[in-house]
Amino acid sequence: MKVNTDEIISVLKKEITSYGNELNVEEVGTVLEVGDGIARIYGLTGVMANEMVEFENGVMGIAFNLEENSVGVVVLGDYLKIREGFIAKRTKRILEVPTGDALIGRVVNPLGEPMDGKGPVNTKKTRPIEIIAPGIAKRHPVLEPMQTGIKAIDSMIPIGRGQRELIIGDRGTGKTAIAIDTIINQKGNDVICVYVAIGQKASTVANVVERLYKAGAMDYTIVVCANASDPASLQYIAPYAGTAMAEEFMYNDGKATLCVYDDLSKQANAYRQMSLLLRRPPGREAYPGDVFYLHSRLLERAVKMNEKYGNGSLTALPIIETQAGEVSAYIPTNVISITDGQIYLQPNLFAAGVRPAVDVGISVSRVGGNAQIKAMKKVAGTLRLDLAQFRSLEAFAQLGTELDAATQKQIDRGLRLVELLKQNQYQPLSVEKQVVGIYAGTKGYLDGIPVHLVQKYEEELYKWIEASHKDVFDHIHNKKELPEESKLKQLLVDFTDQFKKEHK
Amino acid sequence: MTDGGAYTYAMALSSVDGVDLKKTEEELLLVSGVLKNEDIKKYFLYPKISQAEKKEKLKNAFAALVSKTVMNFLYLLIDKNRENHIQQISHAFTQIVDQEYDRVRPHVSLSRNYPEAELQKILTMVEGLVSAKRDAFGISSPAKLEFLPETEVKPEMLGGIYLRLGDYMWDSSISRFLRDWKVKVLSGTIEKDAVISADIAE
Ligand SMILES: Nc1ncnc2c1ncn2[C@@H]1O[C@H](COP(=O)(O)OP(=O)(O)OP(=O)(O)O)[C@@H](O)[C@H]1O
Ligand SMILES: [Mg+2]
Repeated sequence: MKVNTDEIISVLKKEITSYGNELNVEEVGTVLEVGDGIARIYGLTGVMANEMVEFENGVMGIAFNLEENSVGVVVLGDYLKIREGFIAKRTKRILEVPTGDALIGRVVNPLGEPMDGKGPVNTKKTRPIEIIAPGIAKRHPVLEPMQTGIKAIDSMIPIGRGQRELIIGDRGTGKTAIAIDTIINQKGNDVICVYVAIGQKASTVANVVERLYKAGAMDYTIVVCANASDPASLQYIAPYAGTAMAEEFMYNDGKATLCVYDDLSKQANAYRQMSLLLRRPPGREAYPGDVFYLHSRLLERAVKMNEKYGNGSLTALPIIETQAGEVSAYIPTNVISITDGQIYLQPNLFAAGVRPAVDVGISVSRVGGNAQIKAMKKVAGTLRLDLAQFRSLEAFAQLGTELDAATQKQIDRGLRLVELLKQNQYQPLSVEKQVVGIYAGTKGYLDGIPVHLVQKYEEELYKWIEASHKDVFDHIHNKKELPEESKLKQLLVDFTDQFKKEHK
Repeated sequence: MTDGGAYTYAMALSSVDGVDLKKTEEELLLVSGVLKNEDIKKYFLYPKISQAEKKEKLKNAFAALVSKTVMNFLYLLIDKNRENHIQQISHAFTQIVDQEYDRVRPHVSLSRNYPEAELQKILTMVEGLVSAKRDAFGISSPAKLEFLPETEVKPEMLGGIYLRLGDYMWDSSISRFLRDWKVKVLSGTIEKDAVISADIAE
């Protein structure tokens, strides 16, 4: 906004005339000491837990520890600019962030301040970052699919709108990739996405944002980031802030929303750091006793609202990083127990080139099955079983034992299914394509195709149907059901013959 | 000792039967004023000097000046090794007396020195304000307030009044106004209509 001198003068004049009309008494305290992002304040007797506190230089803080003689305030911002003796005043508000359409396509910090150099976020709407999650009476069962566009997930670990599905795995196993693909796949689905980056390198986040732009996904996405170099306090509030931004669209506009928290391990670390600095008693793995509540109160806010309350939904995809596959550590077990299922990523699968490295055997979705479309349910029914049998037989095959024909057939099928489920990054597939591809795999049309040609087969199959039999895709897309099976089978027979001929 | 601890001692002293609060407050101020001296502090911290000897010294110094109750209180502090906390205790005691007698101590900052008569006018205004809006300043007593104002000159305020009373402040300085305004301008919350209506008002 451009402000010229005349404007300033006339506004100043107005402010001066009405100045002092209201008595504005503020409740204050004095900074006793400050360090490591925590300020200890004398005074502020009436302050409430979690209330926002403003220092005299405009930096904000949250009243975190209410002690007998002082208040422990977590500084949200540069604590080095706060000195002993500074005045801190109550705001009588709990922390709020700006919300609304103006945020879409923006990269902001957890206070809603722009970080993308595109000017101020012009919105008057705000929402408190913490609310009590809606109760059961306002909720509706999870019945609509939240398509990730990833074959392995949509077929076997389906996610529904309003669900909380954990993505868990070691470093560099493709956790972020799954979440980003899911966001990209929401294009044209009228879903508002919020990607919350916590404790990551700024360059990593910049890459993700770049990717989202390229895919056109920033048209419906908000990125909230608290980087590794930001204070622990900002990393701690980031997921709540992102959720509040999504909630605006869910509660007010009845929209479907998707929140990715990447990742909550780092948020827990930030919270541990704050708690230790405030001398709260450490418990298991030095986390404070209420670290479960840290994640439960966040993930409880994932919801599918019922018709009376606007039909909106908030799907949560929290991410947890494990150390050497240790899922029984404190934070992973907590979040596993809170969520409605988990997608488990295995480093050895990743290394073997099975990407996305989803371990189908131990990944589950406890509620999404109801949300799967009929066609997918039908074709994916045997997929999980086939893969499980393949895994148990695979070991024999590696020993070079002589195998009977039936076993050999199962192994061949398995090898092709694994190949079929591989999928490149940034290439989410529409559900109708997934259905046809998986149908071809589970019904054995791939059995005669060499493994290294499976991906080519798949690609060309989609192209061919798109070009000459588009009604098949349309049918699945619109009716959510399989087309007449005899017709589909005939199509696949024709295509397979042709493909085999071409790739002699 | 924490402030809470000092408060406990002060509270105990104030509730001794027949104690004269205002007189005791003055006596404590006298004692704490003397014991503030660094050399005297060192003497009382020195562990080789027996408690009896320290008491003897206190007796010689203060017995003629303070009441028997306060003297006993000082002996008690020696017994409990709390003699170096007399400052905090005296401060806490003053707060207790303040509350009992509805005394308030506004801290008023002004941008420049005013002639005595004008300063008095300002202070009277401040007192009127605090009395009228006591709720806002966290004062629950309905009684008439006794004011013990302190003033200070802060040229960086540019003008206006800054008032601090306990945990409350009322800042109507020009510097604060400009600071708030800067925030508004930078955050773009200044409205076009504000400008227009200001023009009409002219
Ligand atoms: N399906 C895929 N196909 C090919 N490459 C992939 C796939 N998924 C992820 N990758 C690559 O693997 C690497 C790690 O992926 P990603 O950053 O998503 O993992 P992460 O688990 O989020 O890692 P970190 O622990 O560092 O956050 C990236 O270079 C990414 O491009
Ligand atoms: Mg990642």
